[in-house]
Amino acid sequence: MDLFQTNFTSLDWGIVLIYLAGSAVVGLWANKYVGNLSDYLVAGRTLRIRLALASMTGTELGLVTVMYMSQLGFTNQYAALYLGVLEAVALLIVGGTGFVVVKLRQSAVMTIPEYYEKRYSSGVRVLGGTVMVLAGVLNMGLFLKAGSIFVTALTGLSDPQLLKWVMTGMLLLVLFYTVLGGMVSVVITDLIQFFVLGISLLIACGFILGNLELDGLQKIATDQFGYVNPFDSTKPYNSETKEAAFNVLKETDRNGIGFMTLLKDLIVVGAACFLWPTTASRTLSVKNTQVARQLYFWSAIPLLARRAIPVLLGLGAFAYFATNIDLGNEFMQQVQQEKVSTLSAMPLYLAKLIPTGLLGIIAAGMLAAFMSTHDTYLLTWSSVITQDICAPLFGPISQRTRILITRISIVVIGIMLLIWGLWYELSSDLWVYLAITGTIYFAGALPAIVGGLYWKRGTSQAATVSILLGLTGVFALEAPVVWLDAQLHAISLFSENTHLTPDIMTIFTFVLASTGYVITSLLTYKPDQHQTV
Amino acid sequence: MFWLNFWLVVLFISLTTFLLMMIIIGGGAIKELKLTFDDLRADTEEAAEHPEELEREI
Repeated sequence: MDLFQTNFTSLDWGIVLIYLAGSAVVGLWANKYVGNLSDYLVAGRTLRIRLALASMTGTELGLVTVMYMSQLGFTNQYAALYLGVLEAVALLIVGGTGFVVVKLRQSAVMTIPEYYEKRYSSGVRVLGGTVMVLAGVLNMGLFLKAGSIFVTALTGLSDPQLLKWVMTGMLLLVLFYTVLGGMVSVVITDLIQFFVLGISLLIACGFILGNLELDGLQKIATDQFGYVNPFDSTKPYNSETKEAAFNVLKETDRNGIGFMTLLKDLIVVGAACFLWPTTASRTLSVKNTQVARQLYFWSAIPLLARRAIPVLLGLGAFAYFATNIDLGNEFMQQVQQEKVSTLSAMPLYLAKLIPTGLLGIIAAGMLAAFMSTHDTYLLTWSSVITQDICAPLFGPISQRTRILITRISIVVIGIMLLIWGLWYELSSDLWVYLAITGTIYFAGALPAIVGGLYWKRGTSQAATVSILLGLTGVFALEAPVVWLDAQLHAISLFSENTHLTPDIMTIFTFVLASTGYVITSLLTYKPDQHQTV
Repeated sequence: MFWLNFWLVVLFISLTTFLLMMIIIGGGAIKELKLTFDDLRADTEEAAEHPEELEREI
């Protein structure tokens, strides 16, 4: 069997096209429900718990999540599930206690930077908004790339030019309905996408479980040397027989997760669950604080599933290539030669496993996931540009002009994504890239928001310092870390066996920003000038 | 074997709860969408009655 053989036919293309056309119609129709700015940005704050949950799931279970979690499932097998457990626990804690989300919803703001102004100053709002947009656009910069890898591997579309046009067309479709209908069309399309994606994921899981059975799931951890304990910093390896999993080819492939990565991800995922603007925008769109808490508590289920189900897809791909070892070796050879990425493992596997027709439904589901994430992200960053950067800088602006600025921002960000997504080459796991770009925003926002809500001594100067120090998170990307590591060795600050890693740099950024916030607050606090909001 | 069993339980919980959630949320969400449309319709009608609001600087 050929590595790139696929069951995807014109019937599957037909299913996909019908689905995409339906989404365009929804965008046109939703436009009639946009009466004012609040309708456009937060659907008039009319969402109730079930609709909010479906919409949040539609957003957070995006194609990019499916891709990076299945990549982790392929490279780290069962141990990759740690990320889902961390997130579920964090959500249960936030939902159970109402930590941050209740006070944020009570503040009646529409965006997080708006809170910065209420609590600190308009300068902090502009700075916080700018950093948020910078980190957010960088973060979603590779979504298009992940989408194109999926489409290529699943459909067997080999013409790179045609592929670019397909991805551009999909982005244009998302731009079209988001520009027109704002949050109203986002919520409606998210609901449709929730059903299409949910059903297609369950179909895929059914096929994988039917293919593997319990015996196959156990063999991954035993006969195929799968990695199960995330606390082990190295993957299973028999030093006597030199046996390891088929995709462990060189020394660095043996690097596992380990304590430092667990700690870093605990901080990043914990902060993301209530600070990531797209999740926060749902909190700010719900009817009241009770719904906000319920939303967090119950979203632990779909958000655990959004990580666990793609890991199962990755596990299926791992087991398939480990069993069909010729194909597995050919695939890993191509990975070594950088002709394909390990991101392709899951779609290549599905293209062989799922029969024609059903493959079209799964492709439509995954493209639904692609669009549902893009629409919310585009709307969130654009509303920040309008509300938190343009409005404070250029004075009072009418609602009509604000809607216009938001629409223009959506188009501009879309063009930036297209350029960035088509030329940036990813050199590490996609999750690592996403966590680092998120840290640029989280590290500064975490002390500024938590401190602002719960500590009356927090000051505007401190919020400014923490947001600026959060920018050092960019040094956790691979190239700057390698450079910094070399510099630290050159001045003999690190011994030969000690190395700076992206994990250490990410944790350092959080510590630096939080420390900066506390120290600056203590230095600049004046009792008569500050109060908590 | 502890970790393998632990992860198999996590996978089982994820799949079954996701399936249940699809069923429970699905029906309710469609009903709520209708209520949301009612709210939004009231909003848009009010906005149509007071077009000057859209031009008011805030």
